Amino acid sequence: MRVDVFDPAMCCSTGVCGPDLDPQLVQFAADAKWLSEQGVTVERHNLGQEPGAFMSNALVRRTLQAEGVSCLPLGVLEGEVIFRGGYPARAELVRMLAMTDKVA
Amino acid sequence: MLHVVEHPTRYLFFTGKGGTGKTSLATATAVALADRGRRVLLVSTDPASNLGQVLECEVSDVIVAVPSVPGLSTVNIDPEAAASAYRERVVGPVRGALPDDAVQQIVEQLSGACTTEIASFDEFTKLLTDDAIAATYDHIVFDTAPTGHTLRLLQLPAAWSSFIDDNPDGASCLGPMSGLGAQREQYGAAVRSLSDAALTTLVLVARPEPSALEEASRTSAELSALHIDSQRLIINGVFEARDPSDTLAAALQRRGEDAMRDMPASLASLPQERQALRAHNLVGVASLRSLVADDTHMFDSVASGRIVSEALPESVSSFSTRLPTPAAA
Repeated sequence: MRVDVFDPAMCCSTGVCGPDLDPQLVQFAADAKWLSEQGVTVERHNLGQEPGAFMSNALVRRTLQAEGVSCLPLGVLEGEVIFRGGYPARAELVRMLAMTDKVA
Repeated sequence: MLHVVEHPTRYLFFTGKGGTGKTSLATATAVALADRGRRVLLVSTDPASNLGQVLECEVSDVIVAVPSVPGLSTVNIDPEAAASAYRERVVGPVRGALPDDAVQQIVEQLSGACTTEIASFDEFTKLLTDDAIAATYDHIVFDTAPTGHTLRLLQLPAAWSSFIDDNPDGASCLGPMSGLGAQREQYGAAVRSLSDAALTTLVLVARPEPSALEEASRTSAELSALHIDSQRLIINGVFEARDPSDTLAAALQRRGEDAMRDMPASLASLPQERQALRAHNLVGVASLRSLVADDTHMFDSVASGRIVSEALPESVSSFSTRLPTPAAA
């Protein structure tokens, strides 16, 4: 299972960079790590660093063109958008990924 | 005589907070080396550089000779121009293909201090690695130095793969570096030059104040962690009261002495020189030459003391007795 997360332009995905610490970002970074420990491949793409990834993925490009950057962050699971415009909590991720056997 | 003038390495870096006098000291060193017949390039990356003012000549982003000092050339790297060129390399290919607000967001993200810092280091590694520059100059004096933060970023490309493998969730500020991976080789060479004591001397410049010395200590530790070990400390603006009955002057002197006595041990262990407080700004080549010609510890305390007294209202002299003694670090 592979989740691609298309993040807004930011310094880096840890959330601990820069003058404003973003607790949601820090939490999601931890959740993403947890997911990868459960065997889920999580790839993060930062608009500010690899805009090419946003262009080459047709689904992302279309969504971005239709909705603008407010659709970011955008979570894509095997060709389908599973979340947009905000980071889900771990419990939601578990539900979205139908990881029924995992305890969040 | 400053040690770096008598024993200059190929690269000399002066680092310190604004107002510590690092530009004056770097410039005086560069002038002194040129006066000794060396070919010297003086480099500034400070956006608010007053190099032109200090040298009384035009300084620009191309290398120019200083008319009044044979053998000396200068260049000022403009960090903003460097950053803007870098932004264009990233944004250019996606402009038109992604919506405008997305392009705008990328531009904003690449408009931070981080990008500016990296982009100017990009320019300055060229000076460290360019063969033509190496053939033209005996010494390159930088009136600035990369911060530990910049250097950590620069080291990452070299260890890029293993770092990411080992720290997938670590606080890895790879941020603005991602577009610069191609220059890995150049950065590697630059970092090697910086950590080679036979090539590079790093001069920390600080005022005799607790916070300034703390800051210098942090910088020193960051650079040591990156194996940039050839460090020296210059404490600039040391005040000595000549008239012991002048309580304000005596208190100022004591405060400086306390700060220097209580400086962090790691900083105190560095080779150290002290420059006396001067009554006048160092502007012009003649005053720069006098700075280097002076014995480091000599200064005209009568003149300085009088100017300090005159600059403050009379009521301040009573305040001087209430000056707090800095707490021991």
